[in-house]
Amino acid sequence: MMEIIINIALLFILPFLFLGLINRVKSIWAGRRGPSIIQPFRDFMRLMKKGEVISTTASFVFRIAPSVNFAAVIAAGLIVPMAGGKSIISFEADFILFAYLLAAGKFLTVAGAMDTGSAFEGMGASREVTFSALVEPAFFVIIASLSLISGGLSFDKIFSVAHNASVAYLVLPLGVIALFIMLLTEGCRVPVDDPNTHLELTMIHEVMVLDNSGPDMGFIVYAAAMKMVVIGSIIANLIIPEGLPLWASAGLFIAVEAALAVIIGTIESVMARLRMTHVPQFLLFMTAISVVIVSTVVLFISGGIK
Amino acid sequence: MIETLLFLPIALAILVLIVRNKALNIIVTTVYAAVFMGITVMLYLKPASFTPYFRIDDLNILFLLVLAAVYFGVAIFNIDFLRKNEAPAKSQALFTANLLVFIASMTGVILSTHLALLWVFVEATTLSSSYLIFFSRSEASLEATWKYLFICSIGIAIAFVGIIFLSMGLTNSDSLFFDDLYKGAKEINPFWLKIAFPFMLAGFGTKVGFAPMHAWLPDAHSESPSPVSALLSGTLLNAALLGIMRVNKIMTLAGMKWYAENLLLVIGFTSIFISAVYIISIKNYKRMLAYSSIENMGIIAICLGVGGAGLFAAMLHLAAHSLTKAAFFLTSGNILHRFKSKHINSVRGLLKTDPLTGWLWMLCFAGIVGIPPFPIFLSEFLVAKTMIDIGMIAQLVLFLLLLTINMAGIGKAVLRMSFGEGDTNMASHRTGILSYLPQMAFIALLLAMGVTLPPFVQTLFQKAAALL
Amino acid sequence: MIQFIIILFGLTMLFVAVTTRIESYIKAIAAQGVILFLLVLFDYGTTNLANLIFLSFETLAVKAIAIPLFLVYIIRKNGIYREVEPTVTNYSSLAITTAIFAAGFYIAYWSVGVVSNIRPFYFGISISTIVTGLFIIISRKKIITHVMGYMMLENGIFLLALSIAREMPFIVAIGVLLDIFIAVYLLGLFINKVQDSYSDTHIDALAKLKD
Repeated sequence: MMEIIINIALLFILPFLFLGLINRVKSIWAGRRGPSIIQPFRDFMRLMKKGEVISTTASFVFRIAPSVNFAAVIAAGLIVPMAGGKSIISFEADFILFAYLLAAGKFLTVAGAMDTGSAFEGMGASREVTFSALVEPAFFVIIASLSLISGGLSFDKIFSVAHNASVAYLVLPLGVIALFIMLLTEGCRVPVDDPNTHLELTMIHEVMVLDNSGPDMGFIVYAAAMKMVVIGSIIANLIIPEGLPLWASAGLFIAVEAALAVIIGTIESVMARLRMTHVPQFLLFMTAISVVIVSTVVLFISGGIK
Repeated sequence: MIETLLFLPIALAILVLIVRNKALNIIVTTVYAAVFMGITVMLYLKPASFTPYFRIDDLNILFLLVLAAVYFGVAIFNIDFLRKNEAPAKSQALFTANLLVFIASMTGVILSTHLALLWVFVEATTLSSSYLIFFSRSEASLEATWKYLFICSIGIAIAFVGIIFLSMGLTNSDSLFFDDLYKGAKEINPFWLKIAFPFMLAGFGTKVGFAPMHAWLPDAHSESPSPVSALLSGTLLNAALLGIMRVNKIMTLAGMKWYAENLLLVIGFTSIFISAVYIISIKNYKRMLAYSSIENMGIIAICLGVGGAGLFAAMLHLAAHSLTKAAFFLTSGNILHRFKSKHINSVRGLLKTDPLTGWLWMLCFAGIVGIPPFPIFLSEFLVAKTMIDIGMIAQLVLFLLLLTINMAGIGKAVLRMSFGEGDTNMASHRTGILSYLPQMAFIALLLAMGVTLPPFVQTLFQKAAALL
Repeated sequence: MIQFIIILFGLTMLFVAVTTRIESYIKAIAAQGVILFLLVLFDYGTTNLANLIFLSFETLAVKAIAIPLFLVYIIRKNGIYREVEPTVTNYSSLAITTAIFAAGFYIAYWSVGVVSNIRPFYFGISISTIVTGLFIIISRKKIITHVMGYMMLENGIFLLALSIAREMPFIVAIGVLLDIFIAVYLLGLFINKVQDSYSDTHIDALAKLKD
């Protein structure tokens, strides 16, 4: 029971802190003091109080998109184990639902963007869909490899057994690298996308939400941050060893998420966004790593690695 | 004896580099060639060994004799070449030093009794000959050198992979001495042997100039100075071929003769096919000679692949090709000196402007395509007969067809260059007698060999073939 | 842990396939040198101290430090443009390299039990590295990237030599001789002859000799 409460709390609180920490790290790199870590929360509350303007060409799809996306991300977050290695909802093959919840949220965001009838937003939507399509297979390959070595079919089984497999030291670091690339893509961070950019030609995610305002905008920002936390929690589960007491596990979990935020902030400060034509290569690199992972696992199962 | 062959040239190279005197360069090259010749003959009369790593046996004495003969001829030719050359003393000293090291490393390849050592020396030949190819310092020679270095270094790397595979297959011993490999050939894991052989064939084959790894050969042969071309074609290719022959023997002893023979046949036919394709429409006579080298190496591979009496033919062909091709390249050097062009179309009336060169050119042509009584006729005839004996009729037809195309290609060019009205102004450009002597000696030697084939020469070839 | 290091070795090749900067190639080469050094130090298990010292010196000082530094120097000196300029698109490059890499794993997978005398993991990765090295050589335009591709090929051969399960120090040590070629190439580029004659340092410039 305790675990569930902690997990739900983490799921809802961490996104603000995650975003705040990234911004803080970026401002420190830039030599500024920077906003408070809870500034995103204040922004969110501010947006909640505002009214919104809706384009006359937009239909109901545009209106429901942000809320559905938000709901889908929350549902996905409930499936993924957070602190303590237990998910709130768990059943066999839940990772497939996880991937498609994220995809459903994305689908509605894309549909909403196209619904406005703006050419720019359509362009961003097309890019978003292309990049997601490149990431998804790699994600499945990685999770499938993990489930192959652990024999489990749900997230918490996969993670709890995979740590004990003798090949874990090979697969888990690679998985962390690959999932981190996924995190950057899904979270629309540098080097895939630049959340600060306002040039239509280079935007992916930001351009899709140009027409949203008020509470809808708040939901979008919140959902994006939560998505990062959720994917970050998969990474955290790959790193955090099994069988720790709850407080240690939760502490480590927060530490890993914080480390991810710091790394993302650092990357955003020291690197430039990739040229649009180079982004797919970056994503394919994740596919390449996933091929390595699955090869290693197959080799391991056949007895090649001792 | 052997130690002299290995260390003396190195010492001389250092001496030449320190002194940097044009006259000394010529003297050292020539004198060492004579010494080399003398020692080789003594080794022929009384085989010797130096440490377990170097030894004279019936096979490599033939290679050593060919090397000695070609190098001696080239050294004589080199006197005129270096004297006329306008490069500064430093470049000439470097050239001479590299030449000596090149000879030493080829000697090492020929004499070594250890697979890895042989590989090391093959690498040394690549390194030492690259400067020789670059000697004229033109843009074209730079390109040829870079290609030569790069392609051969990849070939050498591939050969090394083959050696690693072979060592993986060794079960009882770790030794890579050829004797131990031969003795334990049956115990080598056949799987690894089967993988290792193609790698070594491709690796050393790059150095031999087998198609399709031949890309460096026409460039390097055509852009290097003529004495160097003669050495490359007449001796370097042989030395690398020796590596393949040694490895081939392991295959034979391990009971995988058919496997090695088929690979050799394939690579041999590819080589003469490629050479036929290019030679028929060739425009540059030095490149023509280079392609002819590829063809002849292909013929030797086919001889090895046919087996039986083909092995004798291979030995005969190898020796005859070296001498003929060396003479051919040296003569092409004379033509280049006179006409200042490598284009077939800009050379006319050789027989009128310079009858000696013209006749040598024609004789070399007769020698290389195997017009009797030149020994190449014998070897080609012998291998054709062997092919009939073992029933390779289709292959024989293809073989003869490709040989004819090659012959037509070379013949067309040589005849066009030899006949016709020459530019009489060129007659004033006489070269010294030293630029003709080696070729004449080679041709005389070949004719003597082809007409009589004295018993002691025959035993030399037979004994060498028996070791294959 | 050794296996992880070897996988990292393979990943450097994937990195090379996808990156577009020459500097990244140099980093990959240096990383490979360090990895080989670690392998020699911790997993080679030689009984011969001199051999161990020689090999660890060679891998660390030459492969991981001297050659990369020299490469950087040459690139600066010759003003070589930082883009790699491949002849194939980066997509196909990465796809092919990944396929080669997966094939390397397949070879390792297959060699378990079928062949004795080798360490499967070393074997598979080294074969895929050699093939990738060849691929890099044929699919890149710059002369300097050819040299780098050869360097990677050679590192793969070094790994292959380490994959013999029994100790054959002779083979490993002799493979080091291939580094001489690298030195000669680099010196050639350094002495600048190639640079002077072919100012664009493209392999296309080396296509004048033909029939």
